[in-house]
Amino acid sequence: MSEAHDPGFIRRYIFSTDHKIIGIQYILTGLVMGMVGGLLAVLIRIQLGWPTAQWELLERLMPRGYPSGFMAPEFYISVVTMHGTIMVFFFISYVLVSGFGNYLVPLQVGAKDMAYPLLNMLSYWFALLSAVVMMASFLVEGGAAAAGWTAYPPLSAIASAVPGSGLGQSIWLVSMAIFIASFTMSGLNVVATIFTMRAPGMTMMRLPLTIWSYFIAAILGLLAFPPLTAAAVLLLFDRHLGTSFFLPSGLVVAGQPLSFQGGSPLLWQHLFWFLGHPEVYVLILPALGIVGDVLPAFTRKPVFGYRLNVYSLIAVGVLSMVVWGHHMFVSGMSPFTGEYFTLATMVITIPMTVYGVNLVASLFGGRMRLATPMLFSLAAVALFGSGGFGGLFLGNATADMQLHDTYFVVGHFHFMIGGVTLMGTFAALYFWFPKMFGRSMHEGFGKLHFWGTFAPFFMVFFGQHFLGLQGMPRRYYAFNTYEYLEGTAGQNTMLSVLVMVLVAAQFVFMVNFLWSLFKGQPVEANPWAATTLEWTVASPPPHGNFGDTLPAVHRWAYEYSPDGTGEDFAPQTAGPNDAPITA
Amino acid sequence: MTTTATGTIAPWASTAPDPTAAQRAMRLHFGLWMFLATVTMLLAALSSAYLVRRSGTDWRPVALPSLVWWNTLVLAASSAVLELGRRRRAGLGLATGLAGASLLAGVFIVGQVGLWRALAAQGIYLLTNPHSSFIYLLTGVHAVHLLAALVVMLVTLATLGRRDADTRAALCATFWHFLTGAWVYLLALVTWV
Repeated sequence: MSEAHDPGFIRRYIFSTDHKIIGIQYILTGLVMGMVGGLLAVLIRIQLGWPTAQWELLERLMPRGYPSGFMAPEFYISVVTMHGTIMVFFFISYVLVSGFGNYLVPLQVGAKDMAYPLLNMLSYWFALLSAVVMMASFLVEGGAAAAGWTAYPPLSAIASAVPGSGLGQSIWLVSMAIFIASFTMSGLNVVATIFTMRAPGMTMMRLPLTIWSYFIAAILGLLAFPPLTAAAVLLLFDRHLGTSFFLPSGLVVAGQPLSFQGGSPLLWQHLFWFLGHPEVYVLILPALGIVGDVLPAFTRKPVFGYRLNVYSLIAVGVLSMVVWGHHMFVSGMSPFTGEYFTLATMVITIPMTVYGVNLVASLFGGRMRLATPMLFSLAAVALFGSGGFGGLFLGNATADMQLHDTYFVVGHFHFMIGGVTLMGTFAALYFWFPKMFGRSMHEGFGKLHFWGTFAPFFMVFFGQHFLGLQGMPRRYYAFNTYEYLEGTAGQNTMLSVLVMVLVAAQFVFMVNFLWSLFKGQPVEANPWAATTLEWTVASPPPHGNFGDTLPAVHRWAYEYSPDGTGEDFAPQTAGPNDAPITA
Repeated sequence: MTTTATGTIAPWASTAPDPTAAQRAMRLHFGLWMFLATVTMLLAALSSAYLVRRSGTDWRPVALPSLVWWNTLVLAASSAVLELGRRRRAGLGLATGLAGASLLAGVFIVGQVGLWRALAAQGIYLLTNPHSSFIYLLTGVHAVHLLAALVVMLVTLATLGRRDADTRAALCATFWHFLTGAWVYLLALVTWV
């Protein structure tokens, strides 16, 4: 309830059960983790751009990682592993999925809070703990995990394989277990809130696309993460108790034969990708949903093909569970199985293309206003189109044989789960910042940040596609010893410089964010003249969101420029007498 | 369903921000079933690992000691006692149902430990062969879930005086029957597959 609620600072801002506070906690935690992940990317690019240079400063900062000023190969692979892990699980998942999911779901469905507020608070504290545990692995003997974010055995299963396979890998698994517990709690809340707590009149087919995307993403998370839990338990047994679930016979480490026998490393790959592929949709769908809601606010016309978009999201959700094998075309799978996974992957491109093309069609005939959230949304659409095109080659077994484990793949997934999600995240941050904090972000700095982010981002990962076509393999720490890759040295240096520009632009964002928190222009309830329910309450919304009466919903979320009223838009709460009801 | 001029309103929708007891019960049951779906996926993943690993040449089937059937009987009895108590049948009440089920749960867990000891006495350990690895792993995973459910059941028993006691007991029962069913499934898997 909104009245007389003053629980004190600690209960209100630290151990809060209010979904808005928890959402902001997630977002801030995720942004800090994103900075760590970004700095790791800088280390990767310094190494790839200037593989023979000596770095005294880095040696002084990280003596173990830079003996005599040169990056140790073991450290490089640890950095790559942690960059991927942090960006996927601790940046995008926290800011975009759990952060904005928490903040927006109750507000946009018209509920007082999440379905299980206590569980929600618990999910954040588990998430924070998981992040802290993961960061701690940098400090242990042998350093952080080094088997990639996919943690393939035997590298991840044998403690003596590389330094990072020791304690670092164990901590990685423990952190992931805590993360999965947290993500499950959060997902339960999102699904239950959307399904059982919609305001009167808010039918499923009146939900904003943002909510639909969170709904599908949360269901996918709930169903796809348990197999990773199972795999992690089996891997922990192999690592610490000596079982042979994933370890075959005949393994030799440092001249010593190991006693494992009969296990299958491919089993891990199947279990991992059964999670891994739905997981990319868990990350990308919220970005696409948010873009679907931001575009109409800046074109002043409804999103194109709302129903088809919803059906596409559902179809993608179902199909995402049956395409995981396209990550394993070169694992020796039967050509018939490969054929199936190729076919399934081609089928999933259909609903995704429908959604993407509908987003583009939403722009036609609109009165476009290129504010910062709109720019980032357009960038997300651009990356989605270009990245999706590359996906056609990777999803096809015959082409993937050539491209597998090259920078073509790195470029592709940075466009998709790296880029679409990053641009979607920034679109959301600029769009809902006024709602969260009651002040708007600086528009000029926002545009500077946009161009400093999008231009280098596109060039870097577009360029990586071509490095992949030249046969440059991923995860290698230096390419100067391969004759056939000599021609790529200049390209790599250029990409590294562009990454520095990209990272520098994020400081513009940080300054803008902090400055706007305290000095930004104060805003009214609905600064973007948008239609969804959160814009009908004050900025920031009070505890309990809607006071003593939940809003009654009379229409869909896309009533822009309604016919015959002379009005620019009608909020979802506007009755039938205010404007004709479209849906 | 009530239909308004502007569309269909779900039966649980109301303009009051706080849920009624019935709405709370519905929400909690919904959440529990979603959670059980995730546990089902966990067991499905472990089962698929079992089936894949079973095709290895080093797989030697292990016969479980007959104690396992007594344990199964005890777990089934605990489910039955809980359900009867919850429905206040056979002279049982909510408190006796929860207490009886908890007691039988304790017996089951002791019995499972006995099962492990009996296996060890036959020289069958975790590392003996992949089938024994799975037996220890699956019984362990099941026991962890059971212990968690037991804690919830004991908390429910201790807080029977508070609101929604019947709802919370019903949630306990759903979780508990699920775990009984899961045990029968796992037992069938490791015995006959």
